[in-house]
Amino acid sequence: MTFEEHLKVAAGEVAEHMAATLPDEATIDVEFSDSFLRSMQEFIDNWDVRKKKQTYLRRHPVVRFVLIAAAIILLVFGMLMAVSPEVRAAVTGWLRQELEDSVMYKFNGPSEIESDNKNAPRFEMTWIPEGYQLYDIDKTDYSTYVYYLMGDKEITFSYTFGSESLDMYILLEDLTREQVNINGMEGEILVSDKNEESSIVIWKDNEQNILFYVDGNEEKDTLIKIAESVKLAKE
Amino acid sequence: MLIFLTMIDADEDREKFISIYNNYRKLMFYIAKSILHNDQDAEDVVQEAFYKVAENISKISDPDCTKTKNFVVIIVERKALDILKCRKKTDAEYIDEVYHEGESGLDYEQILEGVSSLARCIRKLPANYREVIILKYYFGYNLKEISELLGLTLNYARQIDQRAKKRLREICKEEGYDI
Repeated sequence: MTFEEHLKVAAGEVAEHMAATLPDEATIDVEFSDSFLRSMQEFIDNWDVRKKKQTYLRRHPVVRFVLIAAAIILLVFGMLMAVSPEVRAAVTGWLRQELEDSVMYKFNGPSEIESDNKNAPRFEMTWIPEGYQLYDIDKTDYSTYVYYLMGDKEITFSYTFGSESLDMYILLEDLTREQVNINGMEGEILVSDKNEESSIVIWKDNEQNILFYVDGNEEKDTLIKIAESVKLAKE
Repeated sequence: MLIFLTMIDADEDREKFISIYNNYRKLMFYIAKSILHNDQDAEDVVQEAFYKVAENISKISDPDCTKTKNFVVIIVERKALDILKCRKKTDAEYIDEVYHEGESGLDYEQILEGVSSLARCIRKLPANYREVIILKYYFGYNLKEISELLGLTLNYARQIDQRAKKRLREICKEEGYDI
């Protein structure tokens, strides 16, 4: 076994033994303060506020009459969507919405083109400034993150396949924004006004429902050049 | 740039969080208080730790298992030690000594009983080094995840990882354990 393999086993032993020797919850006598219990209860109660907001229009009786009108509009709209790719692209896929303190990219279906990351296409940057070294690749169900490092500087390349359960938020603090076009795909670059903060170029592939971004402590033109170099990886 | 990718799996995550809150809040308080020796400070730390747990709820599959217990213990321990370090401007090794050999109530020898030599050496690492080793090798997190979990920069997490392994080799050498 290598040292790293020994470490895995030993770290497990330490963790198991630490857990085993901690006191049982039932034996710990604690009287939490009212303010603590109240704060935690509020935190738990507000857990799904965002979800409630999303379902509000569907459930609220006051808007019933609006829904009847909406049904007629949707019928016409559905016909338009069927014949017009432009209309379809405007209301499905990754939609951008500006919130008070952030930009939200929300995937809005259609669900039949949802994809997971297991058999999904892989993308790669074919250009990156000299000196950066591949540091890590991380995959979740829908997203892939590729990290490059050079000293204190980091570049993250990410792509996320659309899923109706996904939202992406980018906090808008001290930054300037500009529309960009990355290889024919619409996007934007958010440049931080602070030197120590990274900037991000984010763009979406409406055909495959993929949201890409490149985040790093580099100049605007460099980040765009990196973004433009993103290609389908050769297997 | 701060970027959040959220999965709206609110009901399932909320239930998971409630289980963790019910299962471990007393234990978390016990650990925080054993480090900070103050009820109010301990409550504040437990609350902060729960916010961190909520941020990372997707990493937890089963709220009632040893791994989750270790996870919340590491989070609350780190939060408490960070506060102690800020306040007393003391170093991590001293804090670790206070926590593990002082009034924490943990039986140090009992913890070491029956474990391998390398595990004994890991146990002797300062808390910040040991946490990174356990998160990396037991939980399988990468350094990016560890840095986010512990509130460190990625570079600092890398440094701790390297220093932890260096220190571990030194301890193993001192203990006569051949690696």
